[in-house]
Amino acid sequence: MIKLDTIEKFYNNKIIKTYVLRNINLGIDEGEFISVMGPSGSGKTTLLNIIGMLDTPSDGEYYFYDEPVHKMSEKKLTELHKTHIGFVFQQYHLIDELTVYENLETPLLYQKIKSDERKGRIAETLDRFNIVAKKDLFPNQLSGGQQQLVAIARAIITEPKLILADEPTGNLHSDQGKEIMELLKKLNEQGTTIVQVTHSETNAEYGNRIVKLKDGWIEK
Amino acid sequence: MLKNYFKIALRNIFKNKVYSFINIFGLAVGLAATILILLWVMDELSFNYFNKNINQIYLVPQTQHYKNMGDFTVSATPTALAPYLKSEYPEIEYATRYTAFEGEKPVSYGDKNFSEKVRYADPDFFKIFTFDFIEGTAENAINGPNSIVITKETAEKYFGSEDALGKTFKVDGNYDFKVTGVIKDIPDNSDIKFDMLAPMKALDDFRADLNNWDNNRLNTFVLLKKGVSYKAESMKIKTMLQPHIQAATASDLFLFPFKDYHLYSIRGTGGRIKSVELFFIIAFITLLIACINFMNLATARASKRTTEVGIKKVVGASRQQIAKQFFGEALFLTFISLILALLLVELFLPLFNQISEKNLSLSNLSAGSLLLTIGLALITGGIAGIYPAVYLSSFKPLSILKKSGKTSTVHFALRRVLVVFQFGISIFLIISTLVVGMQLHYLISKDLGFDKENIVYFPVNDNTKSNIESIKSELLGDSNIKDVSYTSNIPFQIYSNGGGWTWEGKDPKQDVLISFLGVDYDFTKTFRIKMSEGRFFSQSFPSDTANNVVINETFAKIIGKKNIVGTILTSGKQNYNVVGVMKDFNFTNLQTKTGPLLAYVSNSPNFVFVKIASNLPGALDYIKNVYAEFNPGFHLQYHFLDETYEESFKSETRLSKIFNDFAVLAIIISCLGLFGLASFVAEQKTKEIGIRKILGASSFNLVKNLTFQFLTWVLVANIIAWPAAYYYLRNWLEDYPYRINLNAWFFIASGLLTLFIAALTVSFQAIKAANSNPVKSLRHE
Repeated sequence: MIKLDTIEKFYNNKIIKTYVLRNINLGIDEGEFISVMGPSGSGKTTLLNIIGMLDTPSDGEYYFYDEPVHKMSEKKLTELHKTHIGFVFQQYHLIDELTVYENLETPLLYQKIKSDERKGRIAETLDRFNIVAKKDLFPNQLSGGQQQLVAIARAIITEPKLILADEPTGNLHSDQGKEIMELLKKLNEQGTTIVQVTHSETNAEYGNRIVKLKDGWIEK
Repeated sequence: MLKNYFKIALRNIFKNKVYSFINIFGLAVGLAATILILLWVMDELSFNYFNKNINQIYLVPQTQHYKNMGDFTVSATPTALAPYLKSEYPEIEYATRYTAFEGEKPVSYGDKNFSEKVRYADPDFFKIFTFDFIEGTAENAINGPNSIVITKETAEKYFGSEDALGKTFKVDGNYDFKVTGVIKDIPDNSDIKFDMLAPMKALDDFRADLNNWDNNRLNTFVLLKKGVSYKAESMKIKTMLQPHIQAATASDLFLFPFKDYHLYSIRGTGGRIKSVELFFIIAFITLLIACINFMNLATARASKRTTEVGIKKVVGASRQQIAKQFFGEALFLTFISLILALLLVELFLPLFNQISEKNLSLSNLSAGSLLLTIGLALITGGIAGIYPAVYLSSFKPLSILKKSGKTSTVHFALRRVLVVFQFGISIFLIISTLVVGMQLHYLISKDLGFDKENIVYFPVNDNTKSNIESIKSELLGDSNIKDVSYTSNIPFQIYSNGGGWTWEGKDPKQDVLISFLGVDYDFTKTFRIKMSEGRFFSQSFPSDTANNVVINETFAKIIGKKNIVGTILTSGKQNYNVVGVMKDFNFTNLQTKTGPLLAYVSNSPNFVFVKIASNLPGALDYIKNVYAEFNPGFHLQYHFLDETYEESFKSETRLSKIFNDFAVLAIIISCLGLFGLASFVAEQKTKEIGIRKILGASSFNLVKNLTFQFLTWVLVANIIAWPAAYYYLRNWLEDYPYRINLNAWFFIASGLLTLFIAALTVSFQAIKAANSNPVKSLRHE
């Protein structure tokens, strides 16, 4: 599904070249649940962003379903991550001005999905995540765990093949964290490929493969 | 999708009530001001256009050439001109005389009597100008010598609902006129205005020589045949006056388009177009300031919207979609502003009408101007919205989501420029307000060289004229009345003048334009004018009424002799003997420097001046009684001389008021913007302030730091606005021969005022921020 070939990421800061990622070679198959681990500043988030096409590598090649992402136009990239990738962030990143229902609706709007189908999918998702009662509440009326639940619901509502989660439980206490991890695991079992960045060994255990990063290198 | 945008827009408005208010209200005020001014401008531009033949109508003014004083263009022409032009020049289809310079005349019908604007014209008048007849017909309305056409309003005033046609008025005491036509009320945007219009022929019978070439006393209007070039025609008539007139002064006739009559001066420079242009610029600037606010606040608020933009981009929004959303939001806000603006216009129209002396209203906004208003809002929204749209949509989702909401400082530079620009304009307007106000005050309070306080005056009609001496002596019989004098002119409105005067030793090549004033013996006494040489007229010198004259100092200087008294002045074949020189006084409203003046004894005055010593109401009653005694059935129409003087500075007063109002407006809008920005900076710096406080900074220190940054901008704005204001105001003042100096303190005071207002605005936010609990603000971050 994903093939990263000698990916490098560096910043040119006046004279010094600062490397964030070095010689990354990584393949991800459909249906995998990968946990990316490593100390702060090891390049975990950058790697996730490159996979999510929010960031571009400085060097190397990236194939998504055998298509060369490193050669794609901005428009194509937008199209690709719009239809194939869902994001979950540590800070949830819900739109404060919109209700739960409207937050879930937003990605569907940008995918130009018709009103009837939109309503159906939102209803289904609300039901699946057990948040029907909360649909008219605003994000600031929800607890952190509930917000992350909505964020995940929003990520999967477009039925992406891949979910990228950046420390999804980082802002939550352990009970809520566990609940979110269980949910991700269930999604994986239903066929969604998941890549998560995490600090926690416990959370990493939910995945079926661990990739460890250190100073931008993958530890063998 | 639209619904989603709309929801977000609305919720944002309600969530950030202060910013929304500043945005919407600021823009509404700017729009309202612009709409008001556009209404005014459109009214000015529409003047006289109700005349169907406007493109063929021309005024015939003349330019007199004086060797020492240059050219002198006047709209007054001789009575013989109009009929002559019509008969001698086949390109001229119609021509009429029009007595534009007459004052109001007493008119009575039964027991009703009022003062009316009675004008005289030839029958061609109604063929040239478009006035709709309700009764009677345009063709023969003023053909008979005693016929008169009145407006509907006048008809209702005298006859109520009765038919006006055939009724007979008494005008100016003795003269009977029969109503032969009633016209619809004259539109407000007409320069030709009258209550009653009588035929020229009527004047012929008793007061004027209608075949005179030497007395310039009325306007001449012509209608050219279709397709005739007015420039060619103007050349044709240019020198035609010369063989007919006796005066030595060369005089050229020309044609002046009636469509330009309202806005442009026949003298080629100045005219109301100057005000129209100025107001237009002011309206534009006000709107610009409001737009700048909008842009500023929208970009400032951007930091709050970054997450939204980031998420939308992550879930698949394209840049265009984001831009469209913000652009739409700006337009939406603009339309709310427009509605509010229209309400404001409705609210302030009465006040505006009072200042501008117009009768404008929103209800008669034509479809065209309605479109214009909506177009204006669209353009405003467009200008205000395009920048935030481009700016916000350019965010890279990654950088936004990573840092959870921080805007770059690059755009702060632009905001700074915008704020500086806004304040620059405000400062410019404040300086202008000060200078125009001071100049006005200077003109009104300047010593003209005569005493104009406690003087009541009234115009003289034919009735009063013949009894003028008896009236004067009766008036002096009251102990409250100190002096009485009658003259040909109001002393600061002497516009009758002529050339061709000679004296011994005069350079024969030089022609001097001399102004004339007819007086009685008590002129200098009533107006407290001192003599600098010789004596004033006196009853004890019978020759004073024949050919003795008194001149002013300026005239004496032009003659340039040591002993002026005894000098013989010659005009035509007549000789005049100078018996005295009086001190100069300004007789043209300070519009020009005092020129040479010649006073002569006249028993045919136009005004009576009464100097009141005490008990004004008693004196007024007394004057009324005396007046009524000699004018049975007529009420006295009196004025105070100093009030008339102040009224003569109407255009300056209006300009002063407008500058004042717009300066206040500009500073309010600018401060709204500054308030919004300051609160934003304070909010953005909450964390910094918190850390500084924990590290031991005092509240005062923090307030100082926050405020200082903004005040530097205002200081920069001052430095930009000063030269601009200096340049503009120096030009403006140059039109006045008597003017104030551009003092440095006008500029410094305006600068200090803006600094003070800005400091007040900003420090409110700064104090709030500095006094907040650091623990709370840091936890929030």
